[in-house]
Amino acid sequence: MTTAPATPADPAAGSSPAPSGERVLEVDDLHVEFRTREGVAKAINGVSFTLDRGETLAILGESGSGKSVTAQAIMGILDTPPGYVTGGKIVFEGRDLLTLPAKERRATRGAGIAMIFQDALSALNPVFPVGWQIAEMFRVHRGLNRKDAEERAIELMERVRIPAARQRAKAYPHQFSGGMRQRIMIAMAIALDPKVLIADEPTTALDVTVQAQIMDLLHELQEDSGMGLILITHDLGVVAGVAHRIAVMYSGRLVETAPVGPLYADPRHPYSIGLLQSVPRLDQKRDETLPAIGGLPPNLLAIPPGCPFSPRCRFVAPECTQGDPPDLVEVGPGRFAACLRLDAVAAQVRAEGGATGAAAPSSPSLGANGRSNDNDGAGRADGSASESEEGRS
Amino acid sequence: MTDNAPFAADDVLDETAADLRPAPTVNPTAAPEQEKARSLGADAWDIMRRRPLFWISIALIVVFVTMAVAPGLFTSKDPYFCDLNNARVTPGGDALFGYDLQGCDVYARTIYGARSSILVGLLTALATALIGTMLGTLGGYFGGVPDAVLSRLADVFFSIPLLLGGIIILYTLRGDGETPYFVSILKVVLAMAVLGWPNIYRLMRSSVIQVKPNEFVLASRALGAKPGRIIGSHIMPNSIAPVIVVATIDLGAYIATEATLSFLGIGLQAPVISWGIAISQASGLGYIRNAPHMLLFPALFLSLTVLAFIMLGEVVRDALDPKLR
Amino acid sequence: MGKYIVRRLLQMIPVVLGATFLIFAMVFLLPGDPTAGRCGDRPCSPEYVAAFKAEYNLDKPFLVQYALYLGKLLQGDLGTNYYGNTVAHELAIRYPTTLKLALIALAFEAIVGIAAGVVAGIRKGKFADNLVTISTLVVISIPVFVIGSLAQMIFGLKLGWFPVTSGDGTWAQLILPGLVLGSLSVAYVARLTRTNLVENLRADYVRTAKAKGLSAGRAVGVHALRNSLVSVITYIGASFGSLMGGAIVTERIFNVNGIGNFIWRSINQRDGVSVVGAVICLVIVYLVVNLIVDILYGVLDPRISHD
Repeated sequence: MTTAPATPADPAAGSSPAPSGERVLEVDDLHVEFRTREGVAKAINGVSFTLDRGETLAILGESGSGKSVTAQAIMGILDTPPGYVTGGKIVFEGRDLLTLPAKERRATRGAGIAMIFQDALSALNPVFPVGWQIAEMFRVHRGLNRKDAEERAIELMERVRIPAARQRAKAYPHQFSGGMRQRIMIAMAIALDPKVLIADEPTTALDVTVQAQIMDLLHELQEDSGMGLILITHDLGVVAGVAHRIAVMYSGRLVETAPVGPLYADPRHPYSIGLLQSVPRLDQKRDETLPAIGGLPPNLLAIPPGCPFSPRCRFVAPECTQGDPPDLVEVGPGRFAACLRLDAVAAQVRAEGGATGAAAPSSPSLGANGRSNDNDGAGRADGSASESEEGRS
Repeated sequence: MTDNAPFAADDVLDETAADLRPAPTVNPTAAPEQEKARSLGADAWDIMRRRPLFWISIALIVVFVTMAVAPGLFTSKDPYFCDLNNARVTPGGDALFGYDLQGCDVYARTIYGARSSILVGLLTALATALIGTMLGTLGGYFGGVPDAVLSRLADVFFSIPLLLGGIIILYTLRGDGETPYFVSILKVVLAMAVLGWPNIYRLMRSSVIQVKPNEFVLASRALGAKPGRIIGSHIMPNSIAPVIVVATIDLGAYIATEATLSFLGIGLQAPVISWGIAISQASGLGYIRNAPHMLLFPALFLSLTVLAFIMLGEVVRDALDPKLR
Repeated sequence: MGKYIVRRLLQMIPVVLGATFLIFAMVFLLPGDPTAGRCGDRPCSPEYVAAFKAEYNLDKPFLVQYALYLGKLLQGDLGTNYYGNTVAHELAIRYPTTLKLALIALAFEAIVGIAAGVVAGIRKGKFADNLVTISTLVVISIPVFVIGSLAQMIFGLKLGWFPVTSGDGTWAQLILPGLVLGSLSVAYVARLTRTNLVENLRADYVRTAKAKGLSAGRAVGVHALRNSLVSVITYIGASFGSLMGGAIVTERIFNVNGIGNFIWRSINQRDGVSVVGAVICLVIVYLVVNLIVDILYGVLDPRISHD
């Protein structure tokens, strides 16, 4: 990966520490919908995954795939209305968060499960000093007095390596650089030693060099505390260096989950294959067209029958466009994919020289055989997993 | 000095101005392309016509404007015919709203009062919109020295509260019973327009500054279009809607201010028939006790007129503002 | 912060100069005899006209006139009226009453306005919100002098809850006029609070506050409200301008012996020196309050003053 952060571990093998096997979070058949004036948008349709102590799970998908909604549903910070969790379980430390009384659920927020956001400038309150905002965690959850809480906040700022923390604690968010702001967000999130940290696009808004520093910091903090980390991103480069497992989301479903190494080496779902092929490579020939996934994600107000990816899938067959969406099936040790034509896809990819091999097909249009491609069929070659303006790696 | 202060005293409209800045629509569900193609105007119309407040304000405005143009349609009585024998007679019989101090028919005088109020409000709103739009476009488009000069000038005029400044101007220009009708009206219009234009100026200037860096404007300049053409065909259409909304709300506020000035005895002068004068004459303590009808009817008409314009402006503003949907 | 205040003060100087010049021009440059309407209903005597011309240096070049006039203003000299009283003295004996009235209005504005706005904002689209939105629209549409007369009629005369007039200027007498005076601003404060709160409730930092495990009360009451109040408090300060205009009307209706009533009586006694002097005084007070509000804005929103 061209922009892989400089982590000590070998990216392809996943990084240490190895997950201990102690389960901290289990999401089971989660459903979320948004009830809007235009209709009901089914944002999450039966997402299940688990997270172990010390494990990093990356949830990968383009904007609108439901990855951030999943995170907000776990945190319990969906805007209701319009967002509603309509089914499933979120089990944290043996208790289903969705059935907990509001007060107990609130107590787990920040203390048990914490979250950091993409845009730290807008996620921090502009009118309070950053030290005050971090200290608020101790004051509200631990009942510390103002002075003690602010001492703890300064310690945390030092821990996330903010220089001159004691002086800077009195400064306001707009007086920090983007990277420093994200460090403050992280300090706030780890204040109460949460078991699970959800990082929603933590580096998207940052410069490449700063991205690496932030990912290093998260990695280091995770090693120290053994917390489980859910890393939500559209950036394949960020994922490769730090994640143990990857879950690829599309249209509110998981379409493939696998350990990071095998997924990069041998993606099975056509969407994962498309994502990996659309990353520019250093060994690419100069005149080669970069393949892209044509078309747009489905409108969540009216998801087509059958496999939701079928309109954009170059391996599409008639059976893909009818009935229920395919379920995840086991395709290898710890690997699952949701596709009806896994064998045919694998065979064709092998024939083309491998999904991520140097001789990737220079097919002019990945989406041309799509059923309802309202695009001009030329595809888009912006080389990012995200087809929106969400940002680049 | 008021540059950064978001709200200044009698500027009733800054809230409006702030709300009208274009805001991106946020849709968590990845809206399909075709929905974005619908124009803001068509969307706004769709929202407005479903709101009862819109139709109520339109109906009120139609009634009051008709009243101003053709009062004869509403009453056959002469508002200037007064019989002191009837002074302060309460409503009933011949006179729907009773009689006032001089024994004039309150209903007829209330109907005829619409003309002055609406004329003053309309002319002032037009004058401020015209001056404000022109100067705002100049300042916003050309920037630099003209902008600095105009903006400081607007600051100065803005720093004098409307009612206080109006009192000084009208005191200096004070007329008497002999002053012709239109001169009397124009004096009030002048006083309010002199102090009211910075409102529209600031709104227009910030709209132009927002529209100017857009690519379609740059493209047009690159193609060699003259400033006049760029302003006329690109900038105006994109910034005029907020001006119309604010001018409509202002119109209501100006009618209220005119009535207040007349109430204080410094706006319109008798024999001009005006709601403000009528209320002023009726508001003595003894009269309120014994003949409240003299106060109530002009007050009701005045408030409904002001309400109609402010309400219309707000409904249009809400419809144009994607944030509120 | 210090730099910010200095910058603000420097920016205020041209506005004050401009505003006083504008008023000066309105009084002396508009067509007409500047001494007309300054001596009650009769024309001024030649002696008075001569004295007036000398006092305002009307025989000197225009800019000199203005400079001398400004010098007088700086010394607190607002002129001497036809009856031989200095305007400064007339204002000095009346300002405590007007100040009391304004304080009642400001308190009403702040307490009721913010409370109504918060209720409407957190219950957006519900009954309470509609009630606040529509009732404030009605209040905004009824001119203060109509509200004043109606309040006097209903609460003073019919129900007898409040004194009908307020000649002595005691706190009890000033409550009803104060509420009337604050009524327009109360409506604006409520609407502004509501709009800001609705906007801030959608802000990312409120989501962060929830993710921190704060109670809804703290997320709204501390995080969202603190941001919403920046411009609300600024507005309350700046509403002083309309309060002073409204005071003229309110004091006339309730016969409060304050500055507003003095201006109204001077208008009707054709005492132009008093009208102009008193209004200039109010405009200057308004400018000073605006400056304080501007500085306050910088204190309340760290993003402004630290730039």
